[in-house]
Amino acid sequence: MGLISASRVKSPWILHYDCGGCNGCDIEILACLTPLYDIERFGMLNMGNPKHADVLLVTGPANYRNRRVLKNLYEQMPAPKLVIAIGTCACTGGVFHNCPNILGGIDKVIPVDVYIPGCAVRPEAIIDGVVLGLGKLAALGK
Amino acid sequence: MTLGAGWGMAVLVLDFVLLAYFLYVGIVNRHIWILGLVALQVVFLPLFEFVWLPHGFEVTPTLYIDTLSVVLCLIISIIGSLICVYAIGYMRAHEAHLKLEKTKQHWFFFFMILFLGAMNGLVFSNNLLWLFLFWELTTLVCYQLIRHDETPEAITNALRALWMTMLGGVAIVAAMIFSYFYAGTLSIQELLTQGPTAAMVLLPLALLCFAGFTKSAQVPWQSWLLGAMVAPTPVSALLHSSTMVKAGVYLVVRLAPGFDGTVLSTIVAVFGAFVFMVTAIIAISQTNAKRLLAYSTIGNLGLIFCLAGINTPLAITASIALIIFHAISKGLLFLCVGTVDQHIWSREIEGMEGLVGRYPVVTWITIAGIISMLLMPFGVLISKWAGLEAASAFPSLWSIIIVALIVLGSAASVVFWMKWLGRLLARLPSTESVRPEKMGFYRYSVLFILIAAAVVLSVAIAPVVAGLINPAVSELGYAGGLFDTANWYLRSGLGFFAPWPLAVLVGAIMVGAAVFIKPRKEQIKPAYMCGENVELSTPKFRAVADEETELETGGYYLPNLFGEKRWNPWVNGAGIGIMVLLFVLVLVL
Amino acid sequence: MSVWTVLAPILALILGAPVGGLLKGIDRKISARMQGRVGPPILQPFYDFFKLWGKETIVANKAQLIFVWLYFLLVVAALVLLFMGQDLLMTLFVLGFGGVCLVAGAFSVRSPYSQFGGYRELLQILSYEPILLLTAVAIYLRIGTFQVSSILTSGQPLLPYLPLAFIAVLIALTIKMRKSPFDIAASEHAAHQELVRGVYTEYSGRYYALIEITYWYELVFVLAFVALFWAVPLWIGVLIALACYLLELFVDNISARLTWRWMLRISWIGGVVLVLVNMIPWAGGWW
Repeated sequence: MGLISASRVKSPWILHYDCGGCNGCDIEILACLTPLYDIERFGMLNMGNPKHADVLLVTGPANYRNRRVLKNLYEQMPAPKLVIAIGTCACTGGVFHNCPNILGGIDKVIPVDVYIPGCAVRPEAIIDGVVLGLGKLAALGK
Repeated sequence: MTLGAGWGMAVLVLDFVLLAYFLYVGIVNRHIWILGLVALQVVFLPLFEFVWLPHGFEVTPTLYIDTLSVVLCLIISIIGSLICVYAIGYMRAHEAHLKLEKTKQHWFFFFMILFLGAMNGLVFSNNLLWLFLFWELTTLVCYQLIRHDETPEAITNALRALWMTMLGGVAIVAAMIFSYFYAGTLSIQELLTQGPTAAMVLLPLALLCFAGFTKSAQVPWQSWLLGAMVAPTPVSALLHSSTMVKAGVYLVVRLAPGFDGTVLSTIVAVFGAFVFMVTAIIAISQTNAKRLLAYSTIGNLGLIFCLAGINTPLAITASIALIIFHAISKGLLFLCVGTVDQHIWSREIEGMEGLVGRYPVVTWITIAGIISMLLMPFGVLISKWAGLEAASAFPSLWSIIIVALIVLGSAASVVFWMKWLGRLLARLPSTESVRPEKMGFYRYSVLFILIAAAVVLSVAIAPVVAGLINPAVSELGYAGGLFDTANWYLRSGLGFFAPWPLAVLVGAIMVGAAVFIKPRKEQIKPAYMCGENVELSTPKFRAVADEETELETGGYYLPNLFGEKRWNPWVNGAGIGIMVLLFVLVLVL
Repeated sequence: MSVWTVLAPILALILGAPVGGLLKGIDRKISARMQGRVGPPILQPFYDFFKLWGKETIVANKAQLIFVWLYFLLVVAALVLLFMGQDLLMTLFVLGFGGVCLVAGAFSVRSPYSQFGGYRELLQILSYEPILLLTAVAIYLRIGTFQVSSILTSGQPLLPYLPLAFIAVLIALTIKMRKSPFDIAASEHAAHQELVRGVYTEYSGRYYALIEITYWYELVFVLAFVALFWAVPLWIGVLIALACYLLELFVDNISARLTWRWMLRISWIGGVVLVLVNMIPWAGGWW
């Protein structure tokens, strides 16, 4: 299984879901796809389809409405999968954590593997966090 | 085989009985066209019979039986009988649904069996007078059967079918007259031996081809076949796909050696290919399954005409193969649609969405039928392959146009067949197992027999070619250029097809996948609806204000691009133009 | 000679996937460089394939799985038949069956994106199939038989005699390779996502890996078809095929996607007419 778990590290496909944040972190994620940061050199592709994705990048806090969607998308992803909470809102609710409609960070809904704080997160931090998670992905498969 | 004068008198009497009945129909329905056409026949037929034809004129042989007739007879008798068996179950359910008090099944089956007899007579006739009788008998049966349900729509369409096919009858009378005066014979075989270069022999042949075109609902007469779809399904299967419309193509294939190498041949070839392409394109826009099948039938008949017009041994082989395989597959598909119709009481393709979940047995047979019409290694596609190769080898600059039309029509037919197949399959993921539906004995046994026949004959196409088609082609007078069928392959001077290895490949993959792939319940996940699915198998998603909204999926019919409204005017115009051109060129050259 | 007739199809079967995968990797690398990026390693498609193979199996229904196996094995069969030198029309029909199975698999799931993808794929088939079939006829008109083996022994290259057909085949190549401006059915580039993933939406894991590897085999098939235009000597044909591949990458990166109406128009009024005009000197036996 060495070949397959090595390939998992080299080919993490992303699904990017915004739970309802301010879009700041989303723009930073998309910046990673641009030639300046170019995460495709790590084999990362932004597939819009949970069935094709390995890594779920979530921004924005979880609320009563999007928890259903988040759970649905998470369940449609085939194992082994990774969830990365990007931005302070996704980690803990951030600036919105006291609002009546907010549940908190997304770990209230789905299990999270890597937390990347920041408001908005720097692309370098995103890349660091995803690479950190990849090691976990390789270990998951064994 | 020659039959005596007594039989000839019987034929004449029946001719006039038929004409009298048509006259009655025309008067009762106050139909100008019918009255006019009957009047033409009532004037010219006795004139010809009693005034012009010398007394005691013998036509020998009366019946001519060769392998081509035998092939047609097998198709008519075997497929026809199967369809009649199917009709036993179908009509019972049909009349129960209509809540009829008094059954009309005895008339229905009378006409169906009469039709089988008439068709057999037609393919064996050598005497043009006999051909005319059987031709008009099939017209009569067609009229009565389309009219069977006696709804206003049925009556209108029956009358339209009557006058359009009577145009063919008039053409046969005219062909008889010209044949006698220019060639001195009423025997088809003698007419063929005159040779295409003999003066004015082409005119009766052209008129007979014209009769064939009307009988096979080619452009611009396709509306009668489309309208005939209101009839009960066994009628559509028997008359309007497997057999009656094959009378037209049979006649042209029979006559093909007679006009080999003439301008008539080229026009028939181009015309047939033209019909094939335009019907395939218009079929993309059809939402009613029976109309789609009707368009496909007209198109395939056009392709057979085209191959007959190309008139090389390979082309004639392909045309006879297409006659056989189209009859089986199209008959099967019509019967499937009839069965589905009696389950869901609708013929609309949109109503058949996800039918595999509700009525799996008939739906999978329908899917198999669609595959048998469209894909290798089935007979229809092999015939198309042979036809395309024959068209490429057509020694004329027109081969470019013909090949283009065939290829474009073929690509368009992929679209409309796959669209229908897709609608049948489209289901949301579900963990419930699908149970087979209750199967009526008469209907389902015929469906199974037909699909088995389609598969077996396609795999064994090489022996079919060797045993039936090659002899038929050589008896028609074409020497050489036939398929070599060693090892059950098809090898010609141009190309090579291996039916059974491909069939084994496809069959192995399908059966292997079906047997060995067993998805477990926990592996079934919902379809992607952006995460807003309500539940696994519920066709709903949450939209505005989290409200459960129905998921609606539909088909692409693209009526603005492929629809009848856009195409009919110029298609019909082109058809009329080609017909006019045909007669002008035949008369001038 | 007879060593090659046995060896060539076996080599095609075994090497088709690695060669196709490498070509796809080169595609991604060169595209990335054209966009000013570093790009993934050339072996990336293989990493993708093995990762997908190791994913959990999730399915929508059984029918789509049967169809994807048919798609894969029939495309491989078409490649093997091509390298066996068989009848070109028959080979194209086998390939066509495979393509149609992809559509059937997409249709079998009632997911809006899958359905849309299926219809778009049908329109793509409607666009490229006439060009390929007519080119086969044009090749017949030039060398007198449909057998691919005869193209290799015909002694003269096809390209100087069929230049217009070659251009039409390039249009079909763009559609087949799912490159802009004709990448309409599957949003092959992950970035497009207009239909999520179109025909591929409801496939995942192992079965999506099958689709990936089928794309590689199909790539080798269409490039081999292009290479047939200069089969004598064959190495020039291979070079021409690779040059066309690079041309496709270039066109892909400079053009936006067109609508399906434009694709249909360009294929039928451009491609088909080009092939037909190219057939004129040889139909009816003039030349």
